[in-house]
Amino acid sequence: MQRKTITERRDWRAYAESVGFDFHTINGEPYWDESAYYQFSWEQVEAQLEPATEAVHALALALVPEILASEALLTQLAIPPAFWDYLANSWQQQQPQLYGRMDFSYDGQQPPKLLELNYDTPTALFESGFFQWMWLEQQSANRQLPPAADQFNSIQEKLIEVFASLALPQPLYFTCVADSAEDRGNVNYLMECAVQAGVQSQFIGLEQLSEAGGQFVDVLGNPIHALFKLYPWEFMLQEDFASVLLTSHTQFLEPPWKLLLSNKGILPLLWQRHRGHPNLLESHFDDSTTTLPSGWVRKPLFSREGANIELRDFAGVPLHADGPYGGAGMIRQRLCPLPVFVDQQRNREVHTLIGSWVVGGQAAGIGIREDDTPITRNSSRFVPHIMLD
Amino acid sequence: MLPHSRKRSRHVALMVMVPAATSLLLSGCGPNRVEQGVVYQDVQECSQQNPEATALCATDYQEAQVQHQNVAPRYTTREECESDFGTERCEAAPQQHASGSFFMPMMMGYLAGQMFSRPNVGQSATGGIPTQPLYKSRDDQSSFRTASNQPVATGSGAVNVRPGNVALRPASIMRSGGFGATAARMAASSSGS
Repeated sequence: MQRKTITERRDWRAYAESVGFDFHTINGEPYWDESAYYQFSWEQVEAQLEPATEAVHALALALVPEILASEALLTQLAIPPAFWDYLANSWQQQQPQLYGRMDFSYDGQQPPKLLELNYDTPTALFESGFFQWMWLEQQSANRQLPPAADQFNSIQEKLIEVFASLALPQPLYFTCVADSAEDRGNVNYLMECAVQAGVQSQFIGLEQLSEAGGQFVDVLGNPIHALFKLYPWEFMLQEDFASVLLTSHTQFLEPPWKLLLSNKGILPLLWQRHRGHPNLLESHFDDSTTTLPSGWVRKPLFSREGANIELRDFAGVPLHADGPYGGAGMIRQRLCPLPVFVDQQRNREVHTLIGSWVVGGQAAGIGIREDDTPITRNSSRFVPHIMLD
Repeated sequence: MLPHSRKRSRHVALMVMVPAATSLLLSGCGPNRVEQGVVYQDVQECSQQNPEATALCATDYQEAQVQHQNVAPRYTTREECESDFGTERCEAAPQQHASGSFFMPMMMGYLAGQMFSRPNVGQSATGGIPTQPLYKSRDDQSSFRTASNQPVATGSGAVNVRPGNVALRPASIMRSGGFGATAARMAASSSGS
C-alpha cells in the first residue's frame, strides 16, 4: 500500500460537473483529490481486504436474529420498543438489503481492523463506483498509469445486478434530503443503476411523502410500494410520520432491520462473540461517565461522519470531534490509529481510511478517504486507488 | 506469475444521470390503450338518448351514486370543500370514522363505462372502464372531472379515456409532511455516512 503523486486530468472538474458530481469541491476545499492515488498489491486486496470484508459482513448478519430475539440487546442498542416487532417482521420476511460500507484501519500489512459499519445510509458511492473507475480508464489512456493497473471496484456492476434481482414492486421511489447536493448525488447514482437494471425509478422529496389510509403515498395519492431512503432509520423512528411505518405495506431499502447494523453497539456485541478475531477491535459498552483511558476511542451508538467521537491517543493526548449526536448511549473501542502517509505536494501528513463496500452480500470494492486529522469527517478528501503488482 | 482476474467493473457508463434530475421514470408497457365511455349529467339524459336501454341507464346511475360515496374527495370543513368546488356544491360525507365528520363535492354527472362494452344480457362486461361519478371544480365549470381531479370531458356524450386515468381509488384524507425534521433540526449537510 503506497501513496503516489500523479498529474491531474486537465479538465476533470468540468467533466465531474457534466456527470452531476457537483460536490467535488466542498466549501472551497477539495473533496475529490486526484493529485495522488493509493496503490495496492493483489495480495493486499485478495488476501486481506476482500476476505476481511466478507468475514465481517457474515458475522454482522449472524447477529441480527440474535438481537431481534433479545429484549435486553434491543434495549442496550436503544431501539424504540414500539418498533421491535416492525424490525423483527422485516427480518422474518427476509426483506432484501442493497448495500453497505465498512470502514477499516489498514496499513497494508496488519489485518484490516473494523472501525465501524455504515450499513443504513452509506455514501461516497458515486465517487467509488463510477468516478474513480473513469479516472483509472482515462489516466491509463493518458499513459499516466501502466496498462496493467486494475482497481478493486466492481461496485456499479454489482449494484445493477442486485437491482435487477430484487423483484421489488415498481415504480421504486427514491428519497433523501432534497437540498443536500451530496445526498442527492448519491441517490441520483443509485437511480441510474436501478434504471440500467430495468427498474422504473422516481424521486420524491422526504417531506413530500404523504399518508392516506395508513399507506405511504406520493403527492398525487399514488401508493408507494417500494422506497429507497437515504435517511437514517433512527431519525425516521423518532419523527411524527413514524406511525405510518407500522401500517403501510411499503418495502424499504435499506430494510428496517439494517438499523441494528448501523448502530455502534454492534461493535462490542461482535467482540463479545468473537474475541480476538483478526479483523475486530476490542470494544465495550461505555457509560461515558469515566475519563477515557489512553489508547481508546469513544463513539455514540448513533452518529455519522466522525461526529461526536472522542479519542485519546497512546500518549494520553485527547482529540474530540464535535457534532450533534449523543444521548442514546456510547461505546468505547481500542484505538487502532489510521496509517499516516506523506502528501508530498502539500508537504504534510495525512491519515488514511479505507471504506470497503458490500453489495448484494459480496465485497465489491473500496473508496479511500484522507484527512489531516486522525478522525475522518464528512469533508475528508476522496483519493482514488489502483491495484498493481 | 499467474494472470489476475479483473477486479473492476467490465464496463461502466451513465445513461440517464443528469444534474438536477428529478424524475427518471421510464415508461413500461403501461395501460396506454383507450376505452370508450359515455358521460351523462343524470339518468334522465341517458334514458332519453337510449330509450331501448333505460334499465342499463338506471344500473349505471346507481353504480355511480354508490361510488360517489366511496371515492368523492373528502374535506374536513365545508369551506375548504366549497373553495374547490363552489358555493353550495358540497354536502356532508357519509360517516366513516367515529372521529369527526367530513364534506365532499356533489356529483355533477357520471361516466358510464358499460354502454359500449356490455355484451348480451346475462353476461358481465369484460374489460372497459369503471362507471363512476364526475365533478366540476369551482374555477373550471366546463369540465367533468373524476374524483382524482382528472378531466374527462367538456360535456355529455361519448369519450375516449385511458383506463389508468379513471381507475377508482377509495377516498381518503391525505396527510402530508413526510420525514426530514431530524436532519433539519441538526442542520446536517448530509444524512449519509
